[in-house]
Amino acid sequence: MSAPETTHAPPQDMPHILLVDDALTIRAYLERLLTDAGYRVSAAINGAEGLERALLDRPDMVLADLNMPQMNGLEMVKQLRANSSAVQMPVAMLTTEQDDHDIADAIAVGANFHMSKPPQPETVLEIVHLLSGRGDLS
Amino acid sequence: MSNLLQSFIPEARDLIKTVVENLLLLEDAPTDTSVIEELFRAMHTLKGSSGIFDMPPFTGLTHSAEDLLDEHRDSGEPLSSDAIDRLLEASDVLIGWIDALEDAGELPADAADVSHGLSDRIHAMARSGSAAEDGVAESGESGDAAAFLACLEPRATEICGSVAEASPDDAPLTAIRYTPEADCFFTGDDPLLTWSKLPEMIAWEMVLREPWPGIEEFDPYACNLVFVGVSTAPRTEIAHLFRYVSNQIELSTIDSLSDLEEAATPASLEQRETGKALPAIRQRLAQDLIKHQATMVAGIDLSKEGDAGRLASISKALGNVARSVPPLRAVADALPQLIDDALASGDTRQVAAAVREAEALFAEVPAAPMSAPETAPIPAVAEKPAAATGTPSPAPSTVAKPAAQTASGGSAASAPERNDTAGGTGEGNKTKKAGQPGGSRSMIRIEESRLDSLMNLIGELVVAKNALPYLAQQAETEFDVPDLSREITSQYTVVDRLAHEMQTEMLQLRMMPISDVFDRFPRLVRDVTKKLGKKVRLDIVGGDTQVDKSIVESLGDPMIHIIRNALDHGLETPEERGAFGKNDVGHLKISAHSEADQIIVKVADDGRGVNREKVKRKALERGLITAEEATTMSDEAVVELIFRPGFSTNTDVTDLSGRGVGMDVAVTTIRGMGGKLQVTSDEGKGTTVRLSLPLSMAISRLVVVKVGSALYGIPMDMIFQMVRVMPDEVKLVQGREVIVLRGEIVPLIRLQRIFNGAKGAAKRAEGPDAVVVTASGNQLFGFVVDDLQERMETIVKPLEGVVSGLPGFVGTSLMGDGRVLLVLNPEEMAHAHAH
Repeated sequence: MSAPETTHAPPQDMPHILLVDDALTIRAYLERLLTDAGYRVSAAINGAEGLERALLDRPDMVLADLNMPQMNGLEMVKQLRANSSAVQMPVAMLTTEQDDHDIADAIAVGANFHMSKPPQPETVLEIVHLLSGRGDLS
Repeated sequence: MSNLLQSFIPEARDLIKTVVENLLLLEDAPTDTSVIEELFRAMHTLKGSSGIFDMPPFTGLTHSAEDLLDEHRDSGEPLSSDAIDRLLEASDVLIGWIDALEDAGELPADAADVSHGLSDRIHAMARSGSAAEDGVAESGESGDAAAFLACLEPRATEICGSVAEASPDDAPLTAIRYTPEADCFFTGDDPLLTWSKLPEMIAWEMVLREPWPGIEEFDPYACNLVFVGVSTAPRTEIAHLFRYVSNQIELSTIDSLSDLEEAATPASLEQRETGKALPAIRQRLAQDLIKHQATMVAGIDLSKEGDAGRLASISKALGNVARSVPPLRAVADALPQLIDDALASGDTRQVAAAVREAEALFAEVPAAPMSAPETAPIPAVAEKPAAATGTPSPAPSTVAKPAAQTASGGSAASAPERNDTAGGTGEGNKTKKAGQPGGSRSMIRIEESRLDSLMNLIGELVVAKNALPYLAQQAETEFDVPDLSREITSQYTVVDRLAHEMQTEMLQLRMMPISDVFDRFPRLVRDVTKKLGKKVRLDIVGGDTQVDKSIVESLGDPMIHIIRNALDHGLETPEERGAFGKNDVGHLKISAHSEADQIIVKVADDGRGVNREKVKRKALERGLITAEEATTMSDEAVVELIFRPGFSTNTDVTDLSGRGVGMDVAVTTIRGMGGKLQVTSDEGKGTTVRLSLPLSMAISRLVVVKVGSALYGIPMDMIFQMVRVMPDEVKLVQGREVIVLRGEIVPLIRLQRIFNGAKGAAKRAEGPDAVVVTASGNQLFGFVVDDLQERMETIVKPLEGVVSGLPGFVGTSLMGDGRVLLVLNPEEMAHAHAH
């Protein structure tokens, strides 16, 4: 698919991204960033809700905060990966900047990438592009 | 103001509130890890969210606070009282900035200075960062002076001269490379400032981290600079300066100048050139991604729970990446089979090998995957601006709206997302967001004004439905159709019930927990007692009592005055308390509960109480009472003197409760809300201020009275008693009509005379007078009316137009038959006509 066609493509062809973050502002920011780039975006405000959405909606990828009330991002990914019926969609995790423990934990539970907060727009768009399988080649 | 900023402001307020609450909790339980955790989380979120906006002072300050908290979170050491003070100070500053953002859309002009000053002080409180320094030292060992000093090579001679001059005793030289993170401007770092603080700098150079990209990819907010320098300062000092960016610093000791010269060889320059060939962001990230998967694979042990899922996710992730990175395809295509095998055999080595192969693929041909197939990378870059500008307004309006509908949880959740229609990037997703069965509360934010106008409409409805009984009566008496009358009456009961439910529901919507007011008191009490050198234990009870938002809005200020007064004048110092044999920690209890249709709020201290003799003396001095009054006044009346304007029993004027000006203002405000204030005091044992407030200021309860042919309303909460008095019970005292009620003399005010003049005052010979007795402060007044009629709940509208400001009335209301009712302000009326 070439670039100009992308903007006219029916939305259902676009990957569906699930955002999981307790911070309203970050959620709103990422939601706008990704919607503007043409993605379908849904959101959850903590890990428990995120897990539920991930299992129900089967998004193409999940973008999750690490530090959240109720159920944090690590626990959410852990449970997602342990669910044998789940589609194992890629998960990118937002971590505290360069916190090695966080990064190691993210890898251990099965997150496929980590990014430090606050997320850089280019990085987010690029990672989402790569991990969601949006693809440049048809 | 942008939508994002609009959603940030309330979020930030909530977070700062959480911070303050938890800081105060921490004072009582300094080692409670869950409190520190919560505190850290709130500050962390605040910092993260603020990073989205370009306001380094805000982000910087929250960053330093977060650092301090993080340190205590890790070490488990309690925060010192000083540290709590600093963090509270920071919270105040942040709240101030949020106010400024809301009003002006930007931070105050002095924000950067304030942020720097306070951040430095907060940083200074962090244990002087031994861990951070170690971090730098460690990374220093790996720092390769030969590699990164190359850029200084052209100035080697100059440097040699400077070094000889600066450190004749041949002090060791340290080479420093500082590579600020690309997003450093968003995390509150100021690389140039930090760098400029580097002591004993001999020479330095600023180089690029990556070659400048083309203009369409250029991001002015990303830092692309690297600082390289040589300093003779002790290494520990350098490490200390960079302790907050230790992960971005490389240090290397240069033993002699020849090292430096050696460092600047063409070989290392060459090395740098290779670095220049660094590919674009996608390649870097793809590389990082593959590396990440490789690390994951290495940690996988198929006997562990979830590792099968992890393996599957690696396959999925690489498969997805391969769609944009063609060289990966072969590996990605092979992975599912390899994983199946691994799952069967329990041996993941094949998978690991495949991922390593992918990694190697990248290492070998760094530029190839991206630059060779022109078709691959270009669309991705071009796509962004195209999508952003070309799509007809996809959804910006829906973005910052945190609304989620509460309806239809289950069905929405299970609806296939394919239903999302073209351009509807917002709608479908929103419905899904709403469907959160078992999820946490879903909330909807509404502008207050919308709620207010809905409230007004319901008020109108309540009044309009009152017309139906009148209509029914007309149908029966004037048109003689009793059937229709009955029908109207039965319909009326339905409408009446609905309107009533609607009104109740609406009032519920406006209900907020009174803790919204109370929550600021722990901080207030803490600050005030600290200032006064007193000790107090604060108990807050009944914070979950629901009150109308209008009450919440108005209650704060008067309560602050009352609490300050209690702490300042009521409570004794620990020494005084000791002398009286009291516990040296005083007790202040703030409580709320609902009682019938009133909210009762109490502020009770166990201080010295009110000294009645002293109060009387003061009141006499200030001419508030006469000597005669002083001897006859009841105890309660004496206590209430402290609320008179211009009264203060404390000869020392303090900056806290001032001259007692606050107290009379408090009383006025409470009365204005339709509430009452009473004080009881037990000398030596304490004082209790009791506020009784209406549940809501929006709906008034009136008693309708008839004067001549007109009807008037009198607010129920002002009424003390309603009595009928026989003409012979009315006495004349000093030419004025009075009655005696429960031993008190109550002056009578004949509304007939006021409204209709002398003609209306012609005394009716027979029958009792209806008297509405109202309380104005301590004084009772009796309003003589012709007849007492129904009581009604209604809304009172303020007087408008030519009659606005008419003394003696609070407003107007509508009767069921459409007649306008003037509503009295008995207090004003009494004072205007009492003589």
